[in-house]
Amino acid sequence: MKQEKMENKAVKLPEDLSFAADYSCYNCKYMNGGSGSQIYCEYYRGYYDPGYCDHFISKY
Amino acid sequence: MINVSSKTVSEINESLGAGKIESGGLLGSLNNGDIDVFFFDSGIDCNAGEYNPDIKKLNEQLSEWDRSNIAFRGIIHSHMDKKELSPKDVFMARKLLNANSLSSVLMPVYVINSKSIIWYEVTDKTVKYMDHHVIK
Repeated sequence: MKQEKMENKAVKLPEDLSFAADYSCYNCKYMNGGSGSQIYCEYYRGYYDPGYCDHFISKY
Repeated sequence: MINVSSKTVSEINESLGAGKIESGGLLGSLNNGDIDVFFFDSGIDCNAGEYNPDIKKLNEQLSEWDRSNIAFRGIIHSHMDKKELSPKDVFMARKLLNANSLSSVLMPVYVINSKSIIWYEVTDKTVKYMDHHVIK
């Protein structure tokens, strides 16, 4: 895999870079429900993987 | 498919695997595009759900890598048990791509509870699970 970068310039991380296990559904406004890889969807009242709940909308 | 050195895998297990809170580090290549360089970062004010990289320290390290011809390949961070990248993780990866005019970045997740590494590649449009091969 080729990785391009700007010539003669080191990669620089953005100042506000941060990572969070935030799987909130923006639709439900429900925060980090569930366990493992699933979230709880208040709309459907069930546990879903974020990629499979069609009600799930990320806020990012 | 990506090649990762066994030394890098050990370093990741010993550092990210030792903690109970999220942490992370930089991934780089010195030889042939293989992932064979790792720089651990315990971060700033991290907790069980959040890794905040020590940006100043990491940017200094990236400048050092640039001088040593080590190519930046990505950032690994840990989750307690979730193996997927969160929407915020993907958002931040794309922020990194755009800030550096990169086409892709590796964003593996180290799952603390299972001591496993799940490899992902993020581009502007896609998040792809990557098969990997551990090399000597």
